[in-house]
Amino acid sequence: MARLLVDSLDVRYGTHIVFHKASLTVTAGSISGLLGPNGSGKTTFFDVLCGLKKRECGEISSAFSKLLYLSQIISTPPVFRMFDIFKMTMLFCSDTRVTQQHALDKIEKWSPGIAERYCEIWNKKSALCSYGEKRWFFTLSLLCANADLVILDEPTAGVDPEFRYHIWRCLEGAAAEGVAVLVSSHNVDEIVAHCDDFYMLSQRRFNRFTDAQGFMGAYDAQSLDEAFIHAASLPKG
Amino acid sequence: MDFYFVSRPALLAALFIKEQLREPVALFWTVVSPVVTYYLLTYARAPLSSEAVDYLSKTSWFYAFVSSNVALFGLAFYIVGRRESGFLRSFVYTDRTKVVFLIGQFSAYSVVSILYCSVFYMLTRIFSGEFDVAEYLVILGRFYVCFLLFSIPALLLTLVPLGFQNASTLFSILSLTMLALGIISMGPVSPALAIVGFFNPMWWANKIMLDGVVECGLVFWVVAISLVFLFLVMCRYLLIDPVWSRY
Repeated sequence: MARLLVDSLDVRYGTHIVFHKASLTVTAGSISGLLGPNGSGKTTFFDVLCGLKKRECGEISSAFSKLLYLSQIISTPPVFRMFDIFKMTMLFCSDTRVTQQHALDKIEKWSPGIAERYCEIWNKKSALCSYGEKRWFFTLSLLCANADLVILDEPTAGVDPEFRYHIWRCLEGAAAEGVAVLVSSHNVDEIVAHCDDFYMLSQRRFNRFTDAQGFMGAYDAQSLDEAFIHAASLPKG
Repeated sequence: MDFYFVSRPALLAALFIKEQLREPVALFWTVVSPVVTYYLLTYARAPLSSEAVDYLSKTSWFYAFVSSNVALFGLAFYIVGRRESGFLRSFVYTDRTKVVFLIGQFSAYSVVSILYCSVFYMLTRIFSGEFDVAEYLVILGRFYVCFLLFSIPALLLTLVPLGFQNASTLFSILSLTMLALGIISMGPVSPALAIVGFFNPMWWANKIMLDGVVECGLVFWVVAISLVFLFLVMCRYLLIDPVWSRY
């Protein structure tokens, strides 16, 4: 089974240490979550995985053939309709032509009943789409681009509960077909509910958990948010 | 390697051209405003002449200016815009996608430069004489070489970590400075200004428009080789992360 293995990663900006001996594994067919406070290094970690930021030391080995990444903030050319933006995106993200029908077939299979909404946004002018609609559209489109490792930086931020529900259904559908998904979020509940495993970025390392009890127990907390706060406030050492 | 794979830069260029054509303000500012200026100056100075040689000597600075604007505010400024919007960070970070993006962007603005030159030619030829296909093609060839010339400093500026607003200001200053120095160099100038003029791309562009590509063969080859080298540099050092982001 294909894996992404990160072992003893050290990353720094000047004298500021972001990661020290951080390790993480993402497996094909599963969703791995990444939790961490603002500024803790989640996006930096994704930059390292994409080869945009150099690491001090540590090993990264990936058996995946095609990595796709959706950044936290993206704005689209306002004069385009979303189908033009879909075409533009696919020119970069897929080595083969991806059509609307291809995307609709997959999305409908993963989350029945959503194809009609996807078509509505497909024809909508980019300038008239809300931020949540764009993120929803981009996330679902990227999942259709035939990648085997998909990294999503807070895909549900600013997305309403309905679209958030469909994003997670599609992520689960893609994972069931063998795609490995690494997703970051500040919403602890959704990460715990939907991910096969998740990592809390604390004390410059990734601490792995598989369930809510283990997470709350490790940080001596009564709730998921309390566990997050305790983990984030630990001294960096 | 299938057809879709190799045609991706062309498909991308078609989308970028579509995007540019849906920005009528850009067309107005880049082409129509020089046309209006041209007519104002022409009417203020002398009656219109229909001779081709007079036409080129009257319009060479305008063509040079328009080509510089396509390179600076089209080719380069849109690279900065796509970086600052996060588009490059999301989709253009591998060597392959950088090549697709750069070829697509350059192809798109090559077409846009030809389009702008054609619009300028037609608008300025309406009252000064008949449309002449041979003359049009000669001007088009010279104009495109001018666009290639200005693409070098324009692309180099995209490698400077400037935000959207600062890039806009710098490009405007550069455009105006090149034009001012070029116009100053038309009359008798001091040796110091002559040296400055020699390094002014606008002066060279005006010379290409007046003398022709063959007569400026050395300039053409320097531009062509520099662009190939610059393409390789861009593939390696294209800035991906928005400057406004923390890193």
